[in-house]
Amino acid sequence: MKSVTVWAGGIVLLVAAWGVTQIPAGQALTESSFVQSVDVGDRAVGRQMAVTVTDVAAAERISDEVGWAADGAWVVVDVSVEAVNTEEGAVLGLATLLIDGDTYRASERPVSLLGKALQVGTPKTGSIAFELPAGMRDGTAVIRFTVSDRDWRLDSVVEFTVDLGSLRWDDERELAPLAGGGV
Amino acid sequence: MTGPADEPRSPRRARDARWLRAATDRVPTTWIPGILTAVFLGAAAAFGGLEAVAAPPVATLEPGETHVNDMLSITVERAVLIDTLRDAGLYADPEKGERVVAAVVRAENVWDTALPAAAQGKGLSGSIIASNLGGRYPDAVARLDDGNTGPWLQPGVPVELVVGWIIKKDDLTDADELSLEIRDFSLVTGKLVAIGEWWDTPVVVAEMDVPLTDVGAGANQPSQGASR
Repeated sequence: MKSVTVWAGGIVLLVAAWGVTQIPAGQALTESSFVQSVDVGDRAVGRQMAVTVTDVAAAERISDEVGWAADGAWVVVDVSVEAVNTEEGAVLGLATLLIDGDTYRASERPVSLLGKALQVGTPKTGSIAFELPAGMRDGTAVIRFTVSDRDWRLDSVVEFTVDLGSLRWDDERELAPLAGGGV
Repeated sequence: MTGPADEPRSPRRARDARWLRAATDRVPTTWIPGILTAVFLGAAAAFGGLEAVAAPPVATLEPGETHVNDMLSITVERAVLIDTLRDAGLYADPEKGERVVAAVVRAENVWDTALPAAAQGKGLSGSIIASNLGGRYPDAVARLDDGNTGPWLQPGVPVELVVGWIIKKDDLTDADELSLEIRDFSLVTGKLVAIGEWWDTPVVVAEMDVPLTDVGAGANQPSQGASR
């Protein structure tokens, strides 16, 4: 074979290989979650977990069913959660609240639905509470519910958006007691 | 692969390569390792050779002084010796000659994501080391107000914590001080097969000696007020 043809063929193959690397859509698309946005009352059915947000509120003091109570800037979300097809590994693993680039984790302090195992067909109801810095009363917060507490790439994520400025701040609110499911 | 090396080179190829050979023949190839070694040694010497790298200065803090890094704001306020502190997850057994040394620490997450306070060697637990107890992480970290033994630090929400170690009765008395080292972590962003961000590579940046108060059985301990 003529060496010119060999060189030309090699260069064409190199350019083609470079072209192929340009085609994939990048991590943002290949690893992004399947997000379902809901409002109060909507039911989102994901891969492993179905979530219905029943109420959202803010309070300067919250208490739970075992008598724990604490002051602070609290955002409370009442939810009904159940497993979809299987109870194996079905757990409300993590709820986060994103606002102004900061990620808050659902508080581990009160008795809440955080980390609770879920059942198929029998929804569990209760609350999730977020503790925010004192004085944070404005801004749009996105609350995300996931099954895994560390990796939600390519998994379904339920998102609930709330405008903190539009919430009524109660002096005190009691978290909804855990009910239903296997409780 | 077939062996093109076995085939005789075409005369044309040989002619093409002749100029290359003529050029490279003039380079004294045996000198190259020597030259590279000299360049390497010279560069190493220019950057200080084998001399020890100056360690970053370690600050000395007083109890009540605040240390702030990119992850946390940490203020060690005071420390006590107490027989046991079950409310804070410190199950010292007096029959085995064990006691508890506990520091009251005010901590605030200054990063943008919630951090664990009690996970051993990470977050706040990894930031405070007892240097006169063998450089140990705290055995437990709990909230002072409600005795939660697995607390998370939410961004911008300051928390008072009890940071404690189980010790042998003779390790420390109220004549001693609790020597602490405060460490800074660096933020790492995952690449290739790793995803996310995490804090790694702790470096000691400050040390402090906290005077101890012996409160005996500790009937008047702060965490007594825990509501569960």
